[in-house]
Amino acid sequence: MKCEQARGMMHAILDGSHSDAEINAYRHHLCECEQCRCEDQRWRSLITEIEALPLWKEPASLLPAVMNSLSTETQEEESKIGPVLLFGFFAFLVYHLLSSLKTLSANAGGDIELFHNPVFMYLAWIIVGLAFSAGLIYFLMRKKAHVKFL
Amino acid sequence: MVIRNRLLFDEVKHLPLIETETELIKRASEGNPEAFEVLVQRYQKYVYNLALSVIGNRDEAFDAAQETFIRAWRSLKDFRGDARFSTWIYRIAYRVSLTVVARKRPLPIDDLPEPICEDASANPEEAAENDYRQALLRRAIMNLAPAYRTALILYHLEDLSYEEIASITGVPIGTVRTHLHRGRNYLKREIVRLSGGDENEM
Ligand SMILES: [Zn+2]
Repeated sequence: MKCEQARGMMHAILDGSHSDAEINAYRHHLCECEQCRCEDQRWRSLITEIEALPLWKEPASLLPAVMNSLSTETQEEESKIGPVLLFGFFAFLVYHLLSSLKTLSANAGGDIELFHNPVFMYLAWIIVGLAFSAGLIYFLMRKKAHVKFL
Repeated sequence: MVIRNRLLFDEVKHLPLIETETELIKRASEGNPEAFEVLVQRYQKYVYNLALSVIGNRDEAFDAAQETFIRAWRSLKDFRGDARFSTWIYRIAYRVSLTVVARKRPLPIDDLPEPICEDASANPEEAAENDYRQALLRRAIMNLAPAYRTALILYHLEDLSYEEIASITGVPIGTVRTHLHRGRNYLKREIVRLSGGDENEM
């Protein structure tokens, strides 16, 4: 083996990613070549030094900052429940108001044409149903997932 | 808010010590913040170091590490255990750090030597020499190009394999090897440059 070859293999040998035969040839060359032996030794010292470096210390405020962010994030999500529930309640209220009006109107002998319009009634039912179930499902899901956070 | 976190800290102390990582991940993915907090405690140092190695600035590494854990919390449900949890969270940290690097004008690399006082019993002169060498080495590492720095820190300081680094950074194993070997060569030159010495005396 020539010096050039030995130098080319040095890093891979240091990482232990060569075959036994190559390592033996490399070692054999080092026994005969003082320059490569010194170079090998310098690299080994440097790597030992690098690996002895402690990792940088993470700031003490990192953990509290992460947990605060999660907590804030959850609170923001929770705050979305309010409007959804409010909308559901509002839809429910509108439905009851319309029902009462219909009853009052019928009792008074009159009638409101709108209540005979199937498209209107169909849409009204869909809006009321969707809003209410969306609010309910959302609330139940958040409660299950984050109950310990609150 | 502070009170709530204090409570969380106290509750962490009562978690079973032998709780496996799989159990912690499962509970955290179900929305349990105490379990997630233990995971953050375990990985914050490594995530922070990865971010620092890519970004090279402490403040931004802090933000990137924080963002990493927030994203991990949001997507824990998607963690299927195909890769190790450490690899999974490192990948997130690496992507977040790259985004930080890409979206901001380059900030100065921190002039970072940290005081290292691990061996108080050592001879003061020896300790001072040791501190000087470590500070020099750290500075030289931070002066490397990010790709070389990252490969070097992940391989030598975080003790990851070529394969793991390739999986985290999304580059072929051969490239990781090249980055590492070139990184070491540049590092050696940088140490010589910073210390004003002769390469053969290192
Ligand atoms: Zn030789």
